[in-house]
Amino acid sequence: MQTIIVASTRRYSGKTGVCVALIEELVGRGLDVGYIKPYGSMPTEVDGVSTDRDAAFINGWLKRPSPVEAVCPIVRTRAFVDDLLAGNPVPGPSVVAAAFARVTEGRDVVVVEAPSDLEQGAGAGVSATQLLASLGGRVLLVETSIATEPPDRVLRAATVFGDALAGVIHNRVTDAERPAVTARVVPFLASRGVTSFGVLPHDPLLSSVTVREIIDELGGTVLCSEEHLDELVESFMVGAMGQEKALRFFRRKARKAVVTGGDRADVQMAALETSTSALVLTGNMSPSPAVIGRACELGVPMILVDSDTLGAVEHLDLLFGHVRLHGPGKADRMREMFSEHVSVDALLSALGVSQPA
Amino acid sequence: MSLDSLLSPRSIAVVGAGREPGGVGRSVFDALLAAGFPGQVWPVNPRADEVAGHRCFPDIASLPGVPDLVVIAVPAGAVPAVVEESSAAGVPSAIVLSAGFKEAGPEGVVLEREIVKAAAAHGMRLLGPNCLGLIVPGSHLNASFAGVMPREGSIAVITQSGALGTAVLDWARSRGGLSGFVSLGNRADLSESDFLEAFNADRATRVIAGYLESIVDGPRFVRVARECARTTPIVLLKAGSSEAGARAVSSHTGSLAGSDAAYEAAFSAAGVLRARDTEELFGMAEAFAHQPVPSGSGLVIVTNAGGPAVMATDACAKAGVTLAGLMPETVDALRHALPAAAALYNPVDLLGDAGPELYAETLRIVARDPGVHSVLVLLTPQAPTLPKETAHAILAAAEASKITTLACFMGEAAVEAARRTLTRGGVPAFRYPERAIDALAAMERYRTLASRPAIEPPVIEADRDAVAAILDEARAARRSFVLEEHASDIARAYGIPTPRGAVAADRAAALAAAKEIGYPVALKIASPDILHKSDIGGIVLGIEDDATLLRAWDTVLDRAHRRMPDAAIWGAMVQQMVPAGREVIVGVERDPTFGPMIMFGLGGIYVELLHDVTFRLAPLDGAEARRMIESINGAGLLRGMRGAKPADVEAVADVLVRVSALVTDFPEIVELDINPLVVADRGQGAVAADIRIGIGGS
Repeated sequence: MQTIIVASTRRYSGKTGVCVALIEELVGRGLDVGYIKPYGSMPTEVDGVSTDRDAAFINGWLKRPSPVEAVCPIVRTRAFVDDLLAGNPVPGPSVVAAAFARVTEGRDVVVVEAPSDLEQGAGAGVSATQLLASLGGRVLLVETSIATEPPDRVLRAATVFGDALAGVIHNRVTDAERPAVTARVVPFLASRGVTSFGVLPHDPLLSSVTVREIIDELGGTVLCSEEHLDELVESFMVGAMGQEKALRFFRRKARKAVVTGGDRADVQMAALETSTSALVLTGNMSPSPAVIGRACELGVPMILVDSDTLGAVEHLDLLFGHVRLHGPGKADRMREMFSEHVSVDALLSALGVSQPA
Repeated sequence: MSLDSLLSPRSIAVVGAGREPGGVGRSVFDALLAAGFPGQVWPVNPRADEVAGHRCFPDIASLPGVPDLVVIAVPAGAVPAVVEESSAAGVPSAIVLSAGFKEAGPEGVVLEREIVKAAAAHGMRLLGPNCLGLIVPGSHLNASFAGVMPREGSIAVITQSGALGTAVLDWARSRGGLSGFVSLGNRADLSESDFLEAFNADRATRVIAGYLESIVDGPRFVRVARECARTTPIVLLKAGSSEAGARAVSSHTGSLAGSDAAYEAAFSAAGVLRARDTEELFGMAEAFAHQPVPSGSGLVIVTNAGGPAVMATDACAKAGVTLAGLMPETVDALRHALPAAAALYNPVDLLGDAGPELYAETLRIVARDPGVHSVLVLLTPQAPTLPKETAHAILAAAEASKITTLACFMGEAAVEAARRTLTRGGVPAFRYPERAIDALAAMERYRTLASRPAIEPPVIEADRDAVAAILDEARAARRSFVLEEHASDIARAYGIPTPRGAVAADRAAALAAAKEIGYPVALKIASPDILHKSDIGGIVLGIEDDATLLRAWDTVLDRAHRRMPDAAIWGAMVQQMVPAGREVIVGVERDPTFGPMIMFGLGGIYVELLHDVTFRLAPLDGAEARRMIESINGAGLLRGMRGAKPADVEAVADVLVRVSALVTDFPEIVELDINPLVVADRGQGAVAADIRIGIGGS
């Protein structure tokens, strides 16, 4: 049985997506693959069991899922943090080891999704390096690389993981950055002994969320166009300017959510004039029926939320920072990009995966 | 398309007319009867046998004939069925008075969609919903619940606000009357453009006055209004020009108020006169309705008071109305007719004790002067003044002279009746001289607008395929802007001069590019994420040699990394330095209602601080482009002042026309800025030193 630890030096680098694509590739090669996320920071409950949202999703999507309670043995809930800080006993390496044993049962490979960055989980003794020490295996780094900054974090990680590091996948690299990352960063890392397996493009579909997910995050009431809640939102913009400026501004982004006050009919209309997937109206101020009518005509959901604009923006920042694979077509897209842009065979052999003939 | 069945129906059914007086349907039914409508009027109401003594029918099918017009005043939820029944029965037009449609929210949107579909299925035209109705005094048709029937006149009124409509109707009662009144409501089918066409074709209508908060179909409106305005003056009050006003418009009607600049440009292109407030709207409408458009400029002011005449003169200067210089014969005749102390030159002051005869005699004399094309008669109620008699004298003189005559009787109690006499008699009488002058200025503007030739954009030789390829590439890369070097390529493809330049990825490439172009050069940061290069210090100008270029390279790239750490940097653009000249700005803004608008102004502080810019709808031709350049306050700077040579205005006009052609050909260009366009002296051309093209998110 081979263990692969997927880690990153920074959060929001797209580890979860890489895990999904990697598992697909492995399964496609006839291997039985398990998955575990020892430390989850997105608490949710599945069948009364406290777990992590993404972990539960990936496990549920496996052909042979592991028991829910084993997939994410440590969930960073409020209670966990309080206990840890108060010096009370919290689950640690032994709990992870037990869960790991259950997940690995009968598997050829287990993909371990490490915490967000190299520091997270250290308090409970389950940071990426601690996991490597206790579980063994090979490490794959997933990094959002740019060419205008030296890849210091990757080099530092290489010294930390030592020989266990298989290499790095550069993820969510914009079209503008891709040539420079490929032409400069990759060879530079190679000269320092770090292998790059591929440069994955930034894909707006992957970082998009559905209108429904926004509602889940912010709460709130849907005022119209309920049949369009599964539309994708690629970004969000805040509207607080006059109508003419708003129009110019809103034209720059397609498939966006616009956050503005419920009383700003002019901004709402300007947003509706451009490519907008949802209007988030803050301050619990009901918009004018005439504007609701127009939004309804255009099939754009209007969502009335309690929070003020600042609060809504903070929530949305978090939401968009974290790529979810739950949306329709996203896992497929990730796999597609993976096979197109990653040297999978080189990757698998570096990870020590022996492929059945 | 004819709206005869709507504007002059032979038979009308009122659906929702109740047994008891009151209620919208019954009010309309009563109004139709009260107006003496000569055709058939049928009440339709399944719960009544008789309404106001008329046999009532349960539905459209049981009517004795197919009505020309169905007026619907039932609750919103019941409207679709009635529309469907009417449409299927072959009724050619309907008015839906009921509210509760698009303006009321999602359920209303669905209902509105249903009625539009049902009407269109059999070609029935629809006015409303959510409107006050329609009045045509000449046809004795009052299909409204306004409760008022205006007298027959020559002003046709179109209003998007029903409530303002009731105020207009009330006003018209004491004034000259109307030829038509239509409340547009939600404009689910028929809109302002349809009624411009209909009233333009109507012989009784001499002027169309309207109140609008937005326009349904911008290009059609401009086309239709331009055509109509050749024969019928159109005066519109467009509300929602302030930011707060725009918000109110959106909230009220669920439409964008649109930028004020766009409406200015559209009205100018369409030859529509814009009123700033209701009083001006009425004043202008009355002037057009009752007086001929002056055949030339040259106003004479006849007054019994010096102060108001001075105020009127000031107003003339402000509004661009020229005072006539009187012929010596006229002055002589006045000297004989007027008291010794009278002022004989324009303004002609008859002095405080002027009676009706003196006014009449003076008007006769000035009317004979060939330089006089219009008259403003001023009066203040002084002790010997006889307002009423003077009013009659003015009416008689105006009738005889056929010269454009407006009056201003200042005051209230002493002159109010005389003012009404004048206005009803066909000489619009104003309270204040400024208002009278504004109305006259509108008439003079109309004279120029109506005779203006149509804009004929020239054919521009351009490499359209090259532009299409660049735009496709930018869209494929999901950029909302075209990269600077590509923007230059686009400009060149349309014959707009740009400096030579190339994007360099590193120092060596920059040096090579500079060598190729030749010093001096400019260096500009190249990044798809940095739109405002100068804001982050991303531009260095006037680089003379290799060493300076390398220093500039480091400076520009460092600043970009520091100020925009997340931006992707592709290097920097090395560009030929444009020789100094006068800097102007050419821009494009795509208005959601009217499409691309071309902006022109002087660069630098003139645009940022003084907002000295002007807008026109695309497409432009050379003549319009030159008018545009002339229309800014700072135009003198281009003509050459204080010994400076005149700038190459022709080259600027050429760039304006080419930009207009570019954005007309490529609707995906949502914004474009040439800032600056550096203009050399006359005959030396103009160069687009920096150009930015936005294509919006897609």
